[in-house]
This record gives sequence, C-alpha cells and structure tokens, in this order.
Amino acid sequence: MFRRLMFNLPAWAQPEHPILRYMLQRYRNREPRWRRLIRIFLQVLAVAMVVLLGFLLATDFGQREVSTLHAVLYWPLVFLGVLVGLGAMMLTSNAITMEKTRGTWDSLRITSHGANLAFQARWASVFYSLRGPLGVLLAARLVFVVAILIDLTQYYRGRYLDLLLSGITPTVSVPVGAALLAATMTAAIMQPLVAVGLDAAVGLLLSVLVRDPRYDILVRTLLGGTRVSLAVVAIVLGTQAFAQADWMVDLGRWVTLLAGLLVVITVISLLAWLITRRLFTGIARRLVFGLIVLALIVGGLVVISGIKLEEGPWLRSAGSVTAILAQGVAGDQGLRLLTLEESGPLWADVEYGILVGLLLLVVTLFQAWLAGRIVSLSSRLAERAE
Amino acid sequence: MTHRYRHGWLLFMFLVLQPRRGLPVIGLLLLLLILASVALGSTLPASLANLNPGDCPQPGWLELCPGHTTRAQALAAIESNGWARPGTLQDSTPSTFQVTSSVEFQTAESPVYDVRMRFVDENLTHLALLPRERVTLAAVFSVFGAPSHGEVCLGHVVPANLAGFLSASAPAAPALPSGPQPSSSGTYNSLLSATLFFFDGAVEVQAVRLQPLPLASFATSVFTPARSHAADWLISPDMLVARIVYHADLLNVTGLGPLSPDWQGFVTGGPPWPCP
Repeated sequence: MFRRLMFNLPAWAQPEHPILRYMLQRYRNREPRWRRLIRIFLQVLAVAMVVLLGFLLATDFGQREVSTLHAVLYWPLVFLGVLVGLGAMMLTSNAITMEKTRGTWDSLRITSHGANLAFQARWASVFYSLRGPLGVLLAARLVFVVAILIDLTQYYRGRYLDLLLSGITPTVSVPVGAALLAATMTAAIMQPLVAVGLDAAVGLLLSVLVRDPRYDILVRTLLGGTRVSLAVVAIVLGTQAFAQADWMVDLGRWVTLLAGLLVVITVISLLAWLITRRLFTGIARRLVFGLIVLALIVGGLVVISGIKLEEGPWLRSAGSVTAILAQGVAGDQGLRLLTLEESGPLWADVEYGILVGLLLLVVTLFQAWLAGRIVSLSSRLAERAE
Repeated sequence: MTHRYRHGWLLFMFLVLQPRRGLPVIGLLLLLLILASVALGSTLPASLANLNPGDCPQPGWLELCPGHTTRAQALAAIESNGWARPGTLQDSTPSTFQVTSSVEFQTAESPVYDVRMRFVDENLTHLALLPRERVTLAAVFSVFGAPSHGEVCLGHVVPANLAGFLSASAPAAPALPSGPQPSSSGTYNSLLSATLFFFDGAVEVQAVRLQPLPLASFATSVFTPARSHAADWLISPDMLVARIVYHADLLNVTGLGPLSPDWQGFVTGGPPWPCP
C-alpha cells in the first residue's frame, strides 16, 4: 500500500528522485553529540518558558483558575505557528543564492526542467526541515479535536451539539451542524501545513525576484516583519470579533461594499476585455483596458465611500465573520475554533457564524492551490535568462 | 529518522496538501467521528438525577403532574411509592377558609431533594425541587433538552440548600464597577446565577456557579475588551442546580414575561446585571 501511495506522487516527490534525495541527505545530522544535547536542552527550556507564558496569560497572571488546556496552549501555539511560517519563508528565500554559491545554479538551468525540479524539491524539503514544530502544531490540534469529541459524547447524553445549535441563525439540523463542525476541524488541521507551503512558496518567489545578495537580508527582514505584522493584526481583529466590538458593524459595511464593488468591476472588466479585443490590438488594447479598470476601481471606491447601508445584524455578521476568517488564515490558523467553548458562543452570537469553518476550509484550499501556482511561477521565472 | 519514515512524513504532507486526496479522507473521517460521538453519548446511562418526568400532559415529576394531580392523589402516590424519607412528610391541611395548602417532604432516593408542593383548591399548582446533593445543569439539560428562555445575573445570596457545596463564606455583595476599570487588580467572589425556563415556562430552573472573578473582567482594552472574559459567565454544564419548579399555569409564571430573553444558545453577552 505504501508503494501504491508513492506511485501517485509527482516525480520530484518520489524518494528515488536524485534531487530530492540530495536535498534530504543534507539534513542528516552531523553535529557532535554534546552540541546536540545542548541544542535539545535549550529547545526544551524555550518550550517550557513559552508554555509558562501561555499559562500566565490564560490565568491572567494568577488571577483566575485554569479553565482548559486549550486556553493554556493557545498563545504558545500561535507563537510557534508564526515562527514556523517565518522559518519556511527564510528557508526558501535564498534558494538561488545558495545554488549559485555552490556553483550548481548554471548546471540546473541548462538541464531540462532542472530549475523547476530544484525548486519543487526545495519547497518539499521545507516540510521535512520543519517537521518537528509542524508535528507539535498538528499533534496539539489532534488533541483538541479529541477533546471536542469527548465533550460531545459525555455532556448532556450526546445532546451537546444539539444544544449548541439551538437558537442560532441559520437554523441547522444536527447532521448539518456536524458536517460544518467537521469542516472547521479539517480546516484547522490543514491550515498549518498549507500556511507553511504558502510561506515557502512566497520565499521561493522572493529568491527569484531578488537575486542580488546585497539586498537579500534587507528584503528578507522586511518580508518577515510584514508576516509578523499581518499575524498580529489578524489576531487583534479576531479577538475584537469574538468580543463583539461595536466597530464590527463598520467593518461589515466596508466588506459588503467592497465585495459588491469587486463583483461589479469583474463583470464590467470582462465586458471591456471582450470589446477592446475587437477594437484594439497590441499595446493599445492593454493600455485602454488598463485605463478602464483603473477608472472603475477609483470611481467605484469614490462611490462606495458615500453609500450608507442600513444597519442590521447582518452587517455585524459580515464584519465578524471577515475578522474571524482573517484570524484563522493569517493569525492563529484556525486554532481558536478548535474548542466548543469558543465556537459555541460564536455560533450563537454571530448570525451565520457557524459558516466560518466552511469558509476557512474554502480559503485553505485556495491557499493550497495558490502555493502550487506560486512555486510553478517561481520556477518559470528562474529558468528565464538573467 | 530512517529513510522510509522520512518519506512517510513527506507523504503525509502531500496527502494533506493535495485536496483531491486529502480533504475527502480527513473531512469524512471527522464527520463520522462527530456523529459517532453524538450517537455514543445518547447510549450512555442516563443520569436523570431522579428527575424522571413521568407520564404527564405537561412536564411533571414522577407521577405528580401540575395542573392535573389532586392533593389526595399526590399523597397516595407518595405513600404507595415510598418517595418520602420517613418522618419528613408534612401535610398542611387547608382550613375551611383557605384554598391553598402545601405538602412537603424529603426524597428517600438519591439525589435527595426537598420537595415542596402547593395546591389551590386541591389541585397541584406548583412543585419545587430543592437539591440537597450535587445536581448539575448537565442532568437537567439531559432530561428537558434546550430551554425556551434563559438569562444570567450576578447574585450575592447563596441558596441555603447549596451552602454546603459552595464557599463557606457567602460571597461579598459585588459592587459592580460603573464603567471600564483599567488595570484593576484583585478578585471578588461572584455568584453567577442562571434562570432557565423550559417548555415556555412549564419548568423553571435556577442554577448557580461560584467563582472568583478578577475585577479586570470588567476592564476594557484593545486586547481584552469587556466581553473577552465572557467564559466566566457562560452557562456551563457543571453549574449546580439550586431549584427546579414545575408550574401549572403557564400564563402566570413569575419571572417570565414578554420581555424575557429567548434562549439563544450559549451566548456571551455580559458582564451580566446584578440579580434583582
């Protein structure tokens, strides 16, 4: 069965492939025993300190009792997730530079699909390199999933899910609620892996776009800072949404208007493309089409800034769902949704909040697709003559 | 890490990252596990906490049906079934000019309840159960399902029948801050009281939870908005039931009116108001 599953993998992911074997052999541990022990000791110490910090945050620095394991491990796992994403980005952002340093880059480029295979293997090797922290993130999520299953079994004689679903909007049956909960769990389990894949792909793209070693460190620092800032903003958004902050209504208003604007621009742009194809050719066609789209965007933003939507629960829902989705994608990777103590009130407080997990799953699938496309784009750009 | 396990890890990565392969497997497996958990939970031995609803036209307790059981029938049922602990049955026979009477006793079976029944014109109008042992809200939900109405408040009077389970010292009457309290430190004991109505008022349940609440629960900031500690005042399955009251007249249930909040699930809201 193992061989049959391997048969379905791409060629560059097959264990016999020379480039992948070369990438993986580099990770064979060659450090002396004493250095390894010191490294392990420091890692264990760092983990203990982070978990202690998580415990202090969960108990408000000793002012309240510990409620759940999820509360204690939440912030350490979020911190680890952000570090893993940064690590994935940094591991691939110097792909070309490293190959050039070894003197293998020119050989790869002239080999048929050599650069492409090297990029794919490099991308795949990131998962191996980060297997430890990824394993911790996945194991923790599996523990939380099991905890949810235990709660569903032991409380209220199996009626806990029914009670959580009662009174929510929209009204859903228990099987549908179970399916949506399963979607939430699936998304939360897949998110760390997909996030690493996307971060690594972005790193590969960066390595192609910035080939001058003089700017390498600067760009990597900026990219890392941006990644961390995004995570912080996303988590703050989600926290405010869970707390039902009043400005979720304003966020909902802007999300609704921008979504409508996007639909209108897409439709008109498609029509404009069809028309300009017939009337213009070459650069003139692209110029006219570009001007039309630009005018649509600017004009659309001006128009929607003056629109006042009637306030209602749906506006708050739109804002809250968007903020929680942002938190799940760029912040905690769906971790906060892996406990019924958070999910349950979300379903009850936010209309259509029960759909957040399904939306997160859709976005996760999109991220996985995007990561693949970025890796392909990077390898195509890398193969072009410098 | 051997060569084989190393690639096994990679294989797992690719199975997950290839949605056509990984997603259906993981999603379907989780869905089956959730449904299995719900089904397994329904087969667990029922901890009905001696709250058997019996066979009444509207919710009742054992064979005592508010609005339908007469005083004589109630006394006969208590005696024939041996529900009352010996020496605890008290029957206030109504005088000529009284229309109300009461019957009280303590149950013999565990969990022990103080049972108080009120009769008007010989008909059972109210039946109250006051637990003398730990009865949690989980058992009530198991028997009655989802409530029709429910709200929480911050109380300061410990129900007498629960005094032995809660803190020996009655919680200090909480002087709720009038507004955001930045960087507040210290704690005070808060008695969270939940009043739930089932079947549109046919059954009223009061449950409590005593817990120390930091004053910072009421502080507001970007990272800890007022409702961020909402878990402190969520209705939870471990809350202790203080009393269960069965009403006969659904139109005149004290505490339930047109403005009573419908049960909307385990909502956050909060911090709750002081109990009236």
